[in-house]
Amino acid sequence: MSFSTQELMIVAAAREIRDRELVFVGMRLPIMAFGVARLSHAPRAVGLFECGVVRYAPADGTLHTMADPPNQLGAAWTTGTVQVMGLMQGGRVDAGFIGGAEIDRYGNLNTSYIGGIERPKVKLPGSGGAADIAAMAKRLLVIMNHEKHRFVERVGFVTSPGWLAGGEARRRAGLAQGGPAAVITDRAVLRPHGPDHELHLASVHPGQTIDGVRAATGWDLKCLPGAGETPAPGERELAALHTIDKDGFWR
Amino acid sequence: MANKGLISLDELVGQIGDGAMLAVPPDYSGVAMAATVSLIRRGVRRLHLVAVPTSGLQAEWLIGGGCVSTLEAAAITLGEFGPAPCFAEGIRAGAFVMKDSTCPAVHAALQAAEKGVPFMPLRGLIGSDILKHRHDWQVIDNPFSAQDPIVLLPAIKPDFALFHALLGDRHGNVWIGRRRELMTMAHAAAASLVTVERIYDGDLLADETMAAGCLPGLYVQSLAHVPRGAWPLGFADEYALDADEVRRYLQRARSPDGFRSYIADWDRPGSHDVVAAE
Repeated sequence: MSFSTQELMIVAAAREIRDRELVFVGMRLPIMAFGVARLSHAPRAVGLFECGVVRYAPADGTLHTMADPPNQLGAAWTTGTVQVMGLMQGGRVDAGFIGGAEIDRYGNLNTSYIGGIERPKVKLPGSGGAADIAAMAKRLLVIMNHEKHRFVERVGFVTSPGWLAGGEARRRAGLAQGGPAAVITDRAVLRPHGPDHELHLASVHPGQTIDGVRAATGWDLKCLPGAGETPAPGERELAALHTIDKDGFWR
Repeated sequence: MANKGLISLDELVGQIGDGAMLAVPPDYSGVAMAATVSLIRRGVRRLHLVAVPTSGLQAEWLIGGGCVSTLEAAAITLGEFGPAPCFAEGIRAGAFVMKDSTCPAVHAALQAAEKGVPFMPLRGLIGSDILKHRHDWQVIDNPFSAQDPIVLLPAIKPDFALFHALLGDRHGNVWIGRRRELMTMAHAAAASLVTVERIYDGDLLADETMAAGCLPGLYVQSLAHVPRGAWPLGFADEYALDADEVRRYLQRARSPDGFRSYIADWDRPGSHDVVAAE
């Protein structure tokens, strides 16, 4: 079965969601990944959207914003931002799934300023709820494109805290739980490894090479022991994706 | 507060003076775009704009119109349409003070105002550089437990909440349905100014099925009847985002003159029919 790189990314991301988990879902690719997880291996996962929507089944229809009518129709709950964020602040959210523009060795994410806050080269949209999700979800899952200027030694602005400076830095800062668990890119899957929590290469996607992934990474990317190839999307996973992506936007 | 009842759009925005703190909802929640254009044409200045918690086209236009001196927001984005040109240029030129926040932080600070407390503690934010650059925020040690730093946010007390809703009645009651952020904004603000898609003939609070989704008129200073008042943004089940119009805007906003002429020419669909009917 053929699949696009984005479809592989979505499926690899979906595999990070476990059954029965409460997952805070960001826009675009995270929404698709949640949908695929629900329709394949995680039929009892629950999706939380920052606008106040809580869903069991993925939305039927194209979404421009998370509050579009298709995402409200058939929702498990339509409430407010305060209530869904409260689920997370209260420690009930298993995983948060967000995108990023720039990430570093320790999984810190920047969606605020490229080139520093004083004289920014580019002003990115900002945190939205990402800083809070990164601080409080029990596991942070990140999905983004893998390019050298995005995968940097140290982000210029920490919008959403990962493992901060590595090791015990996150716990010492006062964040009692959570931290990045996986970074899914268009080339590979990265995971933190060892007491330092530095991101390591966990698997490379079909058609990519370890050297190629390393060349697209702005730090000296090490491999996890036994790093292999990301399994190609299975029939059930692709069928789930095609059910949600009716227009073939991600093909 | 005195409910001034149903008035015209220009009268409604006429109450927002220079230097006012204005709270506005995110693009999905009923944005008073017609009111926004009216404000820009009037030439309001030095607004302290609070996006609850994010904004898009509305903040972009107010910045382009030179109306904003301070912007507090969790994010400013036009989504799929790419960078917001006036916002980006304003940041580059230092045209306004940017107070970066996060979604729950904006809500929590409004909740403080709603409850009349000077600040609100909030879980999270720690480890983010957003916190480092917000000198008005503080981190304290939890007085009830050891080794538990917690962030305190000062209350945000807007002068006005401005938004668009589906229904309003002649008592000033406004039906907001699911959009709970509008309730928080309205409770925190000194007064709410609301444009509505339709006038409800009767008392919204007297109807058991409508009452739970209502903002009571005691928060609402003024209402204006403005059909398609959120256009070109989408509005609930009523109309979808007009993507072609957003692209037309982005085309014309490439120069300051283009922006000015766009706002001068702006005319929401059907506005003349409504004037004729009323």
